[in-house]
Amino acid sequence: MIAWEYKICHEEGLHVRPISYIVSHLMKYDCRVQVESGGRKADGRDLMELLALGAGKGQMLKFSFEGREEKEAAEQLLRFLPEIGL
Amino acid sequence: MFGGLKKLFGGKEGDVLLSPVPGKAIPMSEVNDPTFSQEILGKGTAVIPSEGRIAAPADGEITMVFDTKHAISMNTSSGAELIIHVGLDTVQLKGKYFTAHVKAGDQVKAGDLLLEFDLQKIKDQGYDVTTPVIVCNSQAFPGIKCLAGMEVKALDKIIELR
Repeated sequence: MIAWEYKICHEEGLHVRPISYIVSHLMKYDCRVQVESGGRKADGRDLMELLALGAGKGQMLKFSFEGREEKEAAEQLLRFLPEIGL
Repeated sequence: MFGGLKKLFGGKEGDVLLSPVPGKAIPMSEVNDPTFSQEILGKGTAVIPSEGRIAAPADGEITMVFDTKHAISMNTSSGAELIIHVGLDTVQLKGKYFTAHVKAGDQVKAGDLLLEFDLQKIKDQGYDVTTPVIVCNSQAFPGIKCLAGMEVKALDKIIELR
């Protein structure tokens, strides 16, 4: 299992656009992903659950990866998040 | 996640989604934003509104009203998970020009008022007001048909789920 935290820098927080990129990115890997924020948990590959986190600028997101491709999924996402401006 | 809602509640009437607003229905592929046009979120139809009010496209329950009030998600009684997103990038308005008339947990009937917005002011600020209506779980509806290319009145049919 791999886990790390990420602080949201984007003005609009975790909204539809970054979520859609995160979901389509994570779908490529054989790996379960959980995202925690503000005491709530979401499946990292489920758009509606991620939206329901309502995570805004300055909040921490805790990502946990578990699965055959957890290493690749985690590394790629960590590189990807600043690229999409989150 | 929304597993309990997968079963049908009723007959054919529940299996369609109606336009939440009068205007012009266009295919999702023509929406000027890859998040929607690439159907990453799901299939659907977009409407370019001619009025600033959003009505419920079907009977169901509101699951979320975005803080910035420019989008609403709901589950319909046919099991569709919908997002109605007023305008592109309108999250940047941070709620200005939007008024929500429902909240998460509300039960609604098709046609109930969900949101009002100042169409002209939003356009004046330079935003595209195209409003995608997206079925986020469209994979659960293999026969889904999204209608487009026509003028619509509020509550005209725009999507056939089955």
